[in-house]
Amino acid sequence: MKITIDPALCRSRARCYNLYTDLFREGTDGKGEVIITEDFEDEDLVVDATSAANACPVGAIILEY
Amino acid sequence: MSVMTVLLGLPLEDHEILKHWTDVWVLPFSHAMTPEQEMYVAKEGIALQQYLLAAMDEKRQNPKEDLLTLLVQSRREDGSELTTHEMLGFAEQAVVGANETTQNGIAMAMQMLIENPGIEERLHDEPAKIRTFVEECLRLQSPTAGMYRTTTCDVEMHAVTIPAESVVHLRFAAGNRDERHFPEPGKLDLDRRNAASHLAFSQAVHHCLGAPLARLELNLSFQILLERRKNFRFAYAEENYDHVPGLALRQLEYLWIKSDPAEAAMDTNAA
Repeated sequence: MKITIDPALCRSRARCYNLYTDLFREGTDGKGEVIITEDFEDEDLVVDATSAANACPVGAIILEY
Repeated sequence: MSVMTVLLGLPLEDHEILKHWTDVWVLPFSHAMTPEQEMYVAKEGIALQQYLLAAMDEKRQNPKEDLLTLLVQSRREDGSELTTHEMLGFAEQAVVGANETTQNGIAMAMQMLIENPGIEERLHDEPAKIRTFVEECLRLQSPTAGMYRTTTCDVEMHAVTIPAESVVHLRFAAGNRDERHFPEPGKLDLDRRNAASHLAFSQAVHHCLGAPLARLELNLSFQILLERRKNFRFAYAEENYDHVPGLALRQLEYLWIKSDPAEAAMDTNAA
């Protein structure tokens, strides 16, 4: 799985890095920043990333399975 | 219920009355009620509100490290306080939301565990699969099966235009069985990669605030249950469960099960 955040969509609502601290951190202007930028397979992280993408208020988290 | 009672900072001994109030609170979600029942629900609802208002007053005077204290101390970006109405809304949602849906989620996941051959064995062998198991149960059993929304503009779907200001019932449970998103949608699949992309907690700006807590409770429940017990099965030949009639919520009226201690399994293996 690969995660990206669309900076044009992100509205700094902070849900991703408040909830899933292994995957996201606070970047410039409070925007979400992906910690693991390379592909990963870990099942726990796949479930977390999918949950984060669903919870993002503006749908800015993009996943490639 | 105990978990949310503690998180909110309410006395643990109150969890039974809180459970009663939340059970009553959700009745209008599911039933066509008689006028007498409506009166009863309204009276019990007021009792819950009075209880929460008193608890919030107490937190103002004796702040503690809990959610209710956080709520009464919270301010808007402009520094103003939330209205009593808003604070009550949050507190009620936290109490009710944390009880009904999680409890039903756990019960219906147990039903899924029993009804799908091979799942329990696989979870005993690979406890890491419990996470996907929980997501698949949320997808297939969605404790909140649907919710009402109001359209803010005209929406066109499948060649039908839904006008602005229409009340629509969003059917999360139906979306969760969309074969374009979940191939073989009726199958509980422990290897489904996108299992957690279901709508059981809704999505985006309306995404369930309590989803991380619900997921934690569901995962811990099954980790502990599977550590301690095995051979989960229905207790009787038939009529082991039934659903509460209703539209918005999916709830089990009862679920009769049996299981064996997991220790016995280890002893047998050792011998």
